[in-house]
Amino acid sequence: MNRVLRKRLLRDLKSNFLRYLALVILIVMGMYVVVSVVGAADTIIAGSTDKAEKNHVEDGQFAVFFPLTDAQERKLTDAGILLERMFSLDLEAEDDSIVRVMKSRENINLIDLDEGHPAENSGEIVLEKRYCEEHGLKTGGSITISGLEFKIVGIGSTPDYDMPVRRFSDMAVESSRFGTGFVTEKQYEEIQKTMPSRAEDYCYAYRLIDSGMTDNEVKQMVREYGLDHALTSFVKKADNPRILAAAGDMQINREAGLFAGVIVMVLFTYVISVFVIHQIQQESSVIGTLYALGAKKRDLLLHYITLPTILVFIGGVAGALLGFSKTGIPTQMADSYRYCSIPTLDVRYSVYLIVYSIVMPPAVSAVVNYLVINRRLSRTALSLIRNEQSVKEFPRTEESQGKRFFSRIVCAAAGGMTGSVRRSSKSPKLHFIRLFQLRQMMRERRAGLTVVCGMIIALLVLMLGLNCYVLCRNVQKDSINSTKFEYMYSLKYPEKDIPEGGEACYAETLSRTSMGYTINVSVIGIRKDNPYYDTEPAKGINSIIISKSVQQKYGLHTGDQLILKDSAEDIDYAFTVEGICDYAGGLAVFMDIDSMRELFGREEDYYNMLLSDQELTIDESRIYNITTKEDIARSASIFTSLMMSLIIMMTVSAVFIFCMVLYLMMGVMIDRASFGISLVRVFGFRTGEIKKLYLDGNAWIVAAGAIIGIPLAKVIMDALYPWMIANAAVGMNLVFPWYLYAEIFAGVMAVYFVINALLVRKLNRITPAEVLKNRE
Amino acid sequence: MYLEVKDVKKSYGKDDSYIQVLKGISTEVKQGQMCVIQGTSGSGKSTLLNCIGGLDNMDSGSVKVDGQEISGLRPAKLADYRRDHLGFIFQFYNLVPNLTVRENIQVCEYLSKQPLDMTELLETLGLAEHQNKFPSQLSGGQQQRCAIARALIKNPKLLLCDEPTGALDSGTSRDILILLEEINQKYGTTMLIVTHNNAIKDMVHKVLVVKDGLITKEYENHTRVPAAELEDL
Repeated sequence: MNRVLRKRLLRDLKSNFLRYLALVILIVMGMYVVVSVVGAADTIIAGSTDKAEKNHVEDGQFAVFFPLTDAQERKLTDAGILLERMFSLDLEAEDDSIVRVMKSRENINLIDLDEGHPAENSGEIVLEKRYCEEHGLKTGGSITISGLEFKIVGIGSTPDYDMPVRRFSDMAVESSRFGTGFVTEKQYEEIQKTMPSRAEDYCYAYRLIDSGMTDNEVKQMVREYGLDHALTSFVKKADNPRILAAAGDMQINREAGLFAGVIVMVLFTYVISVFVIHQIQQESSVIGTLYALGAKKRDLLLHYITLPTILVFIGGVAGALLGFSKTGIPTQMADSYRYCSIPTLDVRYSVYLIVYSIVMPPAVSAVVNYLVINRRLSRTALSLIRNEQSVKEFPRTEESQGKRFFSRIVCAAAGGMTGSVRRSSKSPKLHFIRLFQLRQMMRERRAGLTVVCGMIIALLVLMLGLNCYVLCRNVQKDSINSTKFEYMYSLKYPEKDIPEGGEACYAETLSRTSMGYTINVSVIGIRKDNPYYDTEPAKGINSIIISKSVQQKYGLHTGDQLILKDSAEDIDYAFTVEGICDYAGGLAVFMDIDSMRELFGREEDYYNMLLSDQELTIDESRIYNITTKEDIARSASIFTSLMMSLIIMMTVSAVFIFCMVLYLMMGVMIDRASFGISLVRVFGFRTGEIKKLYLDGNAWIVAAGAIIGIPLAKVIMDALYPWMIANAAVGMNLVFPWYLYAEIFAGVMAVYFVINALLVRKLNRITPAEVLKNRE
Repeated sequence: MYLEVKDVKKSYGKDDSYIQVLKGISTEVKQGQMCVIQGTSGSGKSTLLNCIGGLDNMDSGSVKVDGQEISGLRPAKLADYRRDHLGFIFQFYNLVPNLTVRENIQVCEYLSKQPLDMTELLETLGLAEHQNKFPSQLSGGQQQRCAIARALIKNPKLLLCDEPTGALDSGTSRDILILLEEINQKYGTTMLIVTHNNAIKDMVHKVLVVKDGLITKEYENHTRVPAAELEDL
């Protein structure tokens, strides 16, 4: 039987071509986004991990105040580990950006060249690719760094600067301000000699290779060999925010993409099922007759599920093909290439994703349609032949109202014109319209519910984008507002006497692991009456005041305990939160400086950070780096510009989903009401009046849906956001200004009114003759 | 007896809305007989047909078709029963709108293990030249012929017709009745025809008159008037 019924499928498709086309486009777009996002995530995760391994990424690194002696180095390598110096000098380019110059690597963190060759002679340099992109530098060109001119012989990336930030604690990558460069060993030594005042960073990278050792054992060795006093940091690969950062970002994209794909597909297939139900209702007597003739529910169920499943399958495959094409995965990877410094990767076609994109959509469609249609086909043959409606379809209130409606029409007809209705007193007419709209809403509650669900999904997508926007803007605003100093000097060798005009502070970088990511938190020791931070921590080696960013990021409150880890020393510090201050310039907590010196075993007058509202005169060799207020403002603004394409994509996608669902569902409402609409046309109702009766009631559904959906979507997205950006070292200020809620609501209603106006054409196509057609 | 109906009772509703439609109907129809069930609106004739067809459950009583008891059968078994034994024709033809005449018939052809020959059936019903048309391109009579063909293709032993001429003009009604008569003669199909049309009673083997849920009159025609000669259709 189904072989014959299958012939209907193409005819159904032809007669509802535009509707199905719209749905298929929706599915194609949905799958395109999912496949391209997840495929990009897979490519970056697997590709950058493979590349990192290929380029001998370090297992960890440690930095010391003074370089190890050859004997000390040998002790480590004799234990079986591979060790390589990663010494560096931060030098200024002509535009004041910083190039961290290192010697070419031999065994660890090798350079992956996109073009050119390694530096072989003095005067040659290989530059990090993101820095080159930001500065328009090409192989064969030149760059002047600290007065020395270098020929650029290669452009590439290294696995230890996958996220090319200057400091581990930097909030964001700023490749216009920082990059890395690799020169020959001889050249590096020459630079050292010509610039002795420059503070050099003595960092060592190691690989455990076949030593059988663990990271902690390496750390222990470094200590045992008497190096612990000079040890300034010890960072395992897993805790290093620069390594595999792009892959870390993508982990969330992959999981969220796969989950969102199922949700979106459930919505779209539910939309299709509404059409199928409409078709079943129209064909009720035919189905009943086929039952009477011995057809089984299974056969018909299969028949009605076939078309949506095929369409979803086609949409899924087309979306997947598009997603796997050049416009898909590579496009989605562009953001990572724009932010991180990763080698050019070959697109991965994961088998599971191919199966997911081909199998999941039709499977979801079959299940959703089965669940929805099965009940409709479970009625008896007789009930179907008579096209009996369930009592639930006609709530009691409308029944009586329906009688009043018809009596009113009869009265109007008796008066010879519907004008008598229009001229009747306003309030009863309004009352009637409202009740009729209510009846229509009750009848179309399935479509109404789909509109609301579609709206909530669209709002979730919108909130994802808006939260991103608001977070970026708040980070920018809060960073600027919280920074009261003009200059911040991080010192390697502080002078005994505090330079005039400087405010001495003591800063340590500890870390906290949360949601699978280790994020650095600055512990800042300040004195009472510090002019640059609006807080006065009480004395006590366990007492801290946390910044608003830390409070938002980790959801802490006064009285809570915060455990921070010193990875280098492998010590956990347990602090009690004594208060929360307004500072939101980064993840920082504050201590009384004396208590902090005591806690970390420093001298009574020790400091390593100077804050000032004017430039200070400090010997260059004593400085690690200088951060100005302008640097912080610029760095904070990067987020907004980086995320803008994502924000726009999310907003457009949300509007598109909402428009399509609303248009399709309101369209099906008109189709289902075509007999009634035709009937009231016979009675003399005008299009405007019919629109009021059959369409305008949806405004209440949309308005109510928006009133519930907007805060709901906000609450859900706010709850998910910490998980989504668990690897970002920023606070979580997601507070919207009130007018943004009002704007979203206005936007939703504006979309509704546009769709409503578009559907008037469809309403006009229903003629009084429909009544006659339906008589049979 | 091919069809045996014994003390069939059927009611709807509860309390104030309770109504007993069939109050204990018993009758028999021999194989190959054409039988008309007559009665006024609400007399229970369609309900009786639906109970025999397994479309409606009876409260009590027994219906045996070709020796098979159908009361108490589960829905799946009832579907098998209808598939194997019955053909249905309704007043409003209930054709699948976007299938052609031939395809509409084919839908039921697949339900039968031994269907009739499609070409022969189309010829017999005068549908050969319309077989590739859609229902909307046919007249009422042609649509009803298609519905009959759809019911007959399964080669059912029992054909249940609910007001088969109810929506047709007298000329077309006569054509349909002639057709039913020919089918009865050609295939030996037992037929139960529910109708308001008083003239039909003269062309069938047996007449049942139902009133208020009971058979008030039951008789066999010793001499039948061919459908072509019926008056006042």
